[in-house]
Amino acid sequence: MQQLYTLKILLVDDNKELLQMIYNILIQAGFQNVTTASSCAQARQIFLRQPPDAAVLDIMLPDGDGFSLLQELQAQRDIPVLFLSAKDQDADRLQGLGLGADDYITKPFLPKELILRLTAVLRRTYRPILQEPKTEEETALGETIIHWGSGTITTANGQQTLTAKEFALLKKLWENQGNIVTTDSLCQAVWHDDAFGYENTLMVHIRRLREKIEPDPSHPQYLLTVRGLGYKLVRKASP
Amino acid sequence: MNSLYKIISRSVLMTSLIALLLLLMNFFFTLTWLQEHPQDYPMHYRAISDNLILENQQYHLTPEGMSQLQQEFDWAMLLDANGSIIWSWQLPESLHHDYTLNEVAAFSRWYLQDYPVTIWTREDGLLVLGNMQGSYWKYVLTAPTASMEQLPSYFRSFALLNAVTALLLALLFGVWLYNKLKPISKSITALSVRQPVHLPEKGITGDLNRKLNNASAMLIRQQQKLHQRDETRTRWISGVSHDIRTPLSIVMGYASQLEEDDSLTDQQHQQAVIIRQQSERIKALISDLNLASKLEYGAHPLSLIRFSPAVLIRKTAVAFLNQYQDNSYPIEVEISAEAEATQIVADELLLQRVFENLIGNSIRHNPNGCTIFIDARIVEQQYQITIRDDGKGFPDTVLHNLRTNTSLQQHQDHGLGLTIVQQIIKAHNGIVHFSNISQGGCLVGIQLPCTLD
Repeated sequence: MQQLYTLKILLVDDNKELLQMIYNILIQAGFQNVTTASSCAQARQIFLRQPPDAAVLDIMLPDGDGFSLLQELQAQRDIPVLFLSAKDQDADRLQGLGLGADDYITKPFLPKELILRLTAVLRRTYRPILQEPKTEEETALGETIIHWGSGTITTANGQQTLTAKEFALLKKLWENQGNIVTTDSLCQAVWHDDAFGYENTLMVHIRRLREKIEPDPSHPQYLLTVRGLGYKLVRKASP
Repeated sequence: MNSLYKIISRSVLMTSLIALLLLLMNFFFTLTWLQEHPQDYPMHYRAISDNLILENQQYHLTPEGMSQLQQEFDWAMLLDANGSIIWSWQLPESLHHDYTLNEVAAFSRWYLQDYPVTIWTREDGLLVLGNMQGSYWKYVLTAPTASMEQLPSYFRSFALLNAVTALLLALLFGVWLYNKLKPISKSITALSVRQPVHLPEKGITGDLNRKLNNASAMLIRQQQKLHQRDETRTRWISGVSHDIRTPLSIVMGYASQLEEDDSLTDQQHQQAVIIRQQSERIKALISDLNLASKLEYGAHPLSLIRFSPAVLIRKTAVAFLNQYQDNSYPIEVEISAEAEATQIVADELLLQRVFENLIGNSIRHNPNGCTIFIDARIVEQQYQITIRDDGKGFPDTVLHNLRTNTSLQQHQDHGLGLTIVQQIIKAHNGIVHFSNISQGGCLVGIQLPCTLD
């Protein structure tokens, strides 16, 4: 059993300064096993000596291109790969993803973005073998406590069960808490379809959800409507 | 069809005019000729006869008669009723004899031993006036009266036949010419829309065809060169923007790390934020420049899909709202039920870019905040989107540039983001209109066809 941050990451980029910076970013973010290579040849050597658990590849390398390196590496060991490239054409992105890359980040990028995408890919791939502290099982919205594990909520009035749709809605809103979520995204999360034709049904589910989590459902403090766009879940009660 | 009619009608008209002209010319020349030559024809035989007088049993020609005779004739004789010569003047030797009735009848109409003669009947005989052999041409016309009476109607039919033949020939010639010229006309039309042409270099228009072929080849070469240059430029811009990305990543990366460094003072922290924000601005500019050059030179093919613009509008608006949580840039979205139910075929990423550029433009140029309004509705089968704000509006120079120049090279002022909006909407066969609102703020109206052909 491993921790997420002990996974071995291989960085391949021909620009030494950039390589150094990404290395620093990953170390700062808590990754402990990061190796770097500035050419395909170096990458191959490292791959043989200490097989990584994930790789971040540049596309333009002095002795080859990232696309073929990806195919070569994945033929030996199926690991998640992220492309980090200065090529921002859709065609390149699609080629990268089509070859089986797990994500494609275009330069310039924010360190935060890289870390978020890398950890997301790692979690997805290594979930079964990762010993991770369970994600927040309970969330408090004022007086209301949401138990994610059981799909129930506790309020001053006692415990209530959420329907599957209500749970999906609340989860989507919670994942984006503080941000507006469009009606389209909510419908996508619940019915896997765009909003068209579902608005009224969505409104009904939101109303029921408010009846369960809001102290005063007709004056919502946590689940707010953004007219014409969607909904927003806030942690602190808005006046 | 129109040009065929034109060519043929002109040809017929011209032929008729030429025929008329020739007819008039001939008539005129005949008339002139007849007027200029009448004195050559001996016709004063009556005056001569009147001057031949019998005096004292002797015939005597007065001096006027003699000068007249000398002028017009070469010899003369007077025959009595029995055919004997009773007077003569310079009569050729071979004609010195009596004449029988038969001989007189014969020469009175034709020639006398090949001498052209003119006769005049007198009370005392027959005056015969002659010229040298071969000097005149005599012709006697005899025709049935009925035929002569039909002559005018024959003449009319004949003229009509002539006219019809001329017109028919003109028509045929017109059609022939049209057929010969049709490929040339077609080729010129093709050249005007930059289509290559190749004509056979034979026949009456061979030389012309060869020149057209040359022009076509030259045009294609030029087009290729132009295309090559555009491509080089696009590739160059793409290359430069590619090369900037890596160093910019490093700047952004470190600035962003500094931003999170708690040991920095507030001022330093703020400076790091500015570096990061400006780097992101450079990033946006590079990608705008790249996209603009690709759109300008047609190097960015549209990836068309069917989608709902309403969903895209909400998604884009929400992304901005989530980014500016302090509510300094509220966005009010109004989508009609019809627009909500309508999907269009377009390049979704590019259209998202349009909305991002317009909303981003409003935000960037109104640092003290403004409200942004987005309306979508269907008007006459067009998907109509209006994006406006209550900020300070477009500067006049920007509006002027947007309205007058559509080409990237002519853009002196900045406003790349708005140019891209123009290019994208144009690529979708849509219409975009930029204006300022009298109460303050700018307005951008976009119309997209609901179905893209």
